[in-house]
Amino acid sequence: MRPQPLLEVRDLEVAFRRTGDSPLVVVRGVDFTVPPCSTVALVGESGSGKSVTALSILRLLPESHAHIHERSRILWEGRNLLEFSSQAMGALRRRSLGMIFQDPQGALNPVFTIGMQLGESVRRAEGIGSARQVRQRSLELLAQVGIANPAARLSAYPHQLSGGQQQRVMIAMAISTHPQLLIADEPTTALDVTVQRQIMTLLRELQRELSMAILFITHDLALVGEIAEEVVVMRQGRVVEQGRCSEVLVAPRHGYTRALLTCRPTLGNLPARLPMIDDQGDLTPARASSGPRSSGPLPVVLEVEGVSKSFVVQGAGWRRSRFQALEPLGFTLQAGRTLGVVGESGSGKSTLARMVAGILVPDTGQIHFPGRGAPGRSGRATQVQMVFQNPFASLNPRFTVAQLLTEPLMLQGVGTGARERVELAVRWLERVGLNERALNRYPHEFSGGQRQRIAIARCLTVNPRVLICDESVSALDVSVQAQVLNLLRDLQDELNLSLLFISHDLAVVRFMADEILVLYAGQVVERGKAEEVYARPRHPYTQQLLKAVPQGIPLSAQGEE
Amino acid sequence: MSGLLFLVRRLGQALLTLLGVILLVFVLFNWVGGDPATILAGKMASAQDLANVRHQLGLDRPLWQQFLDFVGQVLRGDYGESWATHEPVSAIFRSRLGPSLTLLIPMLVLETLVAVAVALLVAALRGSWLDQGVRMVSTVAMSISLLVYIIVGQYVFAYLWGWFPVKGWSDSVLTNLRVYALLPVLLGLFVSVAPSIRLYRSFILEEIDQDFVRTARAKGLSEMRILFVHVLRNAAIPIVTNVLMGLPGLLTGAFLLERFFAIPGIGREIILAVERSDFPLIKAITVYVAMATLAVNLLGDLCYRWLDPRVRLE
Amino acid sequence: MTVQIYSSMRSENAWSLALRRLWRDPVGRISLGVVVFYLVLVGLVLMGWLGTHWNDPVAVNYAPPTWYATAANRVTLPAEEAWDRTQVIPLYGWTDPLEPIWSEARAAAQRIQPEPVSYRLTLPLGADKWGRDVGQKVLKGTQTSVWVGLVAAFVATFIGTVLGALAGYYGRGVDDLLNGFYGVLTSIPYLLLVFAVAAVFQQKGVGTLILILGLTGWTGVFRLVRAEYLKHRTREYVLAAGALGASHGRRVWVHILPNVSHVVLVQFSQNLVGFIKSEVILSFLGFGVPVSSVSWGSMLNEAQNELILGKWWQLVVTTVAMAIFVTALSLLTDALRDALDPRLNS
Repeated sequence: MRPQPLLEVRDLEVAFRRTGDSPLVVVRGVDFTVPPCSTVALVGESGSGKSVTALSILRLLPESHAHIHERSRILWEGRNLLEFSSQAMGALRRRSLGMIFQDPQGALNPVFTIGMQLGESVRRAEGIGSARQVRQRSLELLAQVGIANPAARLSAYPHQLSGGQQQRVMIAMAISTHPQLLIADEPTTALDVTVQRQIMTLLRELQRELSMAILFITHDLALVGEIAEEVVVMRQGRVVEQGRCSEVLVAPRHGYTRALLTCRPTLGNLPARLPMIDDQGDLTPARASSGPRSSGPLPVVLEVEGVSKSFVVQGAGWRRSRFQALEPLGFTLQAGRTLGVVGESGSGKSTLARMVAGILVPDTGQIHFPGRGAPGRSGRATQVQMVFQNPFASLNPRFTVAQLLTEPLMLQGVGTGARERVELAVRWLERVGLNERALNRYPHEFSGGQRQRIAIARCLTVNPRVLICDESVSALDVSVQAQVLNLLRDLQDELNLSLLFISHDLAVVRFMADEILVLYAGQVVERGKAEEVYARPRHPYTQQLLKAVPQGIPLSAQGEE
Repeated sequence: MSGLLFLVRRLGQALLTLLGVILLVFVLFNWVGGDPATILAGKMASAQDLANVRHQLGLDRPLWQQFLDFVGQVLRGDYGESWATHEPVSAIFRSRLGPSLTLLIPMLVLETLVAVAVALLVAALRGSWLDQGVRMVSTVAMSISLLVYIIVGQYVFAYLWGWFPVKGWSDSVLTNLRVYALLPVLLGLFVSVAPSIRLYRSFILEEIDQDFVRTARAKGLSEMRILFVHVLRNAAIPIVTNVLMGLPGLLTGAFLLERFFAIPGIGREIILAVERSDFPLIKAITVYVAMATLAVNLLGDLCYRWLDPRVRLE
Repeated sequence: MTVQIYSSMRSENAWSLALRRLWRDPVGRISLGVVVFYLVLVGLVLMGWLGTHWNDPVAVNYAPPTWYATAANRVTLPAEEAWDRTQVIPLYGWTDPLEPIWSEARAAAQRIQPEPVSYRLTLPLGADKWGRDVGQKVLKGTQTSVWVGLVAAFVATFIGTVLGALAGYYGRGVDDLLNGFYGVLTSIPYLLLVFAVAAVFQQKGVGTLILILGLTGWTGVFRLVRAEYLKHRTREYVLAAGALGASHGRRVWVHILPNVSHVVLVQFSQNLVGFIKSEVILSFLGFGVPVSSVSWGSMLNEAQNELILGKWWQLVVTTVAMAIFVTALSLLTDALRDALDPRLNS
């Protein structure tokens, strides 16, 4: 017999009430247990119900909207906490449960100091009253989560801290209660990859020190291996597979888990096309690399010379300071090749993309598109197009797909009449894997991946030679990401497109790029052929970045660190 | 952010806006308004009479000179004589200020207290029958013209039941507060509280839906503490700003009260002035009230920066 | 590799979706019905099919409201007396400047052989001081008030939208200028501004009223539309349109405007509510519609004096007529806001 589990979720079913509609069941028949002092990961893509499950455990779902089925049970040390009075639940949250959230900025109250918010937890958890004791304990906690100069931080407001520090404060608040269970809901998703690495390390250390259990919720299977002993894979509100990490991650039984594991590009594995999951959860295998692409002398299609950009930051009074977003930099891009630009938030990578696309005007330097006539403002459109990050924001919600696709044709004077333009639009739709039935629909009727296909089709209607992808797959689920990446590759081969591929995700860039540019705080710190940069990074920042990428190796396989 | 620099910058802005107000008032009354001499000299005036009046008012001078004159008037605080009563306009304004404030200040205080209390209650009980009821009642209440409340209130409480004097005013502030201002203040409160409740409720709900409230719940804080400490402190930022910025709006509500209850305040004066086409008086009151509004807005802006640490000045 | 699963649902744009959502909400449905009913009434009165006899004395003075009128519900007054009833203003020895016109009219009246006129003793909604039918008056008054509100709201929304769009989209100098103008207008309390403008326009009339309200009331629309444009001008769909070669004008009016139109619509109906209330106050104070016309405001003005005499019906009828419309309009605005909320669109 195993020891009594700390937490047992039995047959959890959650439904959201909808006005004038039947309730929407978002979680159905979920069963899992969390043993004491262990880490269980809850993994799934968006809409899998993983966060709803976590919030149900803390009973933080809004009762007016969400309904937990009467048959469901959530047992805390054997007692059903769905039947707890709100006082008993409050006491449980104060003493035994801690939770950290995805967005630490929003999770901290903006108008109170860190000291006040932390003190509030400390006072309730420890039952201590004196201000000095509370302060002492708060300082200890801040030091424990690795915040430098904790005394100064106590009087700071949340907005004065970086995202990583905010998340550390959240963790300090959560562990102030000596919880037996810490629920971490996507705690590193909003953070840069190097910060993510630090937070993961911290969580692992704290777990060992405080011997608490962690329920770790994430969409990133690669992270799971780093922290969890057991994993529960969810899809569309149901558990599809669960078991020990060492088994599930190494030899997944369910097709969906297998797909999640393989359709995300990794640093080590470089197929020509990624495997994909279809709607039944079945896997289309990867196609092996067809050998290195020709690297002979190719015509240059984009020349960037000494381009830089700064922005005016409005300060108090008449003072305005300039913020240098990008130091002068240059590069060239050859026909049919991909330049990957890697950087974390604030590195200036989006600024670069927008200058090349002609949305921003550079302060210095020049951008040329050799090979075709002098580009005027609208001439630029036929040279370069951009696929944006968020497919929910980049398509005008009030336009039909037909309008979206024919507008650039009309603006560029392609095609002689409406009919011909629509025919062209259909051809592009088919090219990106959609068909003419999409024409009269509005963007909100499509999924994220489909929208990104439409966005790509819209760019291609004007026949650009360079396509900029600014974090174009970052907002997509792993499985959809694979489809879009494959599509981009296919299109590149077929149309001899050059890609400027910008991302914070090193693995994705590795999959796409021939050459790499690493940006840090507006400066190029490293550049070179992709395989060389990844194999032998010279700059410390690149090395740090590469080391921070989650490897997806189960704990047991990692050995002692 | 440096506090002094900010203050200087905002003051500069306010002065520029005031200049705009002066220009607007000038354009309205000296240009759009046509020739005031015809109003002033009467219907039977001869051409010579009109010319005399124009000369007297300086209306035969070029517009830019007239504008400079007006700016000078504003700077000196001397707007000349009323066309109707021939008293100095600034003296009229000064004597009417007291009664208006006697009405305004109690209204503002009571209104804020009642509105915040009710808004907190209905926001905490969002979706309950009480919340729905208050929403429905205040929607209906807001759709009835405030004139009806004043007419009926005065008729029923003062005329019919004799609980309050029908109208009147005295020289003693205390008597005014105890006797004469009571019904007007209550009616004004009744009229203005419904929209405030709705607004404050939305401010509070905006905060209740924030992530930090979920954090506070996860920490095991009591609902009371969450509502009164975490939510209210955040909602206080827009509420305080709004109370201050809403002050001029209350003023206009007081216009009608003053007229109905024969209170010798600014509102009654301006209605009289419009009836009599007393341009100097309207111009003066408009500029004075605009100054007050700008000052209150500045105060509101400072309060906002003081209350919200994200934009706090040092 | 087609990966399509289309919903079987017919394709809909955001507006018809919103309308359907509005229709599903009983409050939205009822309030929409009431508002449409009023608008139809206003149309009928405008066409001259209803409320044309509001100015005719058809009953005795202050005829009380009764719904069970009998056949004997009439009194016949001699023609002369009936005519005298039109002389309403005691002149206290002064000569009426209009006397020549009056005598001419009287002579004309003599010529056409006046017949005895019969007056009703009661009316369904009662009569006013001159024996005019309050029912007819409220129809005409509703038309005036709602019409003034509608046209003024169109004017104000149009000005506010155009200026707000330009200020928000172009920013910099354009924004400084327009925002400065906004600052000037809003530093004068609304009613005071309206009074000041009313004092300047010597001509009373529906047109003046519309102009006053429309020219002073656009600031709220401006503020919100400007904020929306500020937000939208850096949205990716606008940047994408620019990268595809769309001109600034096209981005402002073709791309962004449909996406902020819900704000404009909600502002329009809020303005309508505000303008109707303002019109009532202005007309009540005598700065609004001329004596030759009737509106909810002028009716309230008459009703105020009638109430002292215990004649409550004109007050009640006007208040109820106004309250029903404004309540329905406010509820419709709320329901519209919910139905059009873009956060609920996906």
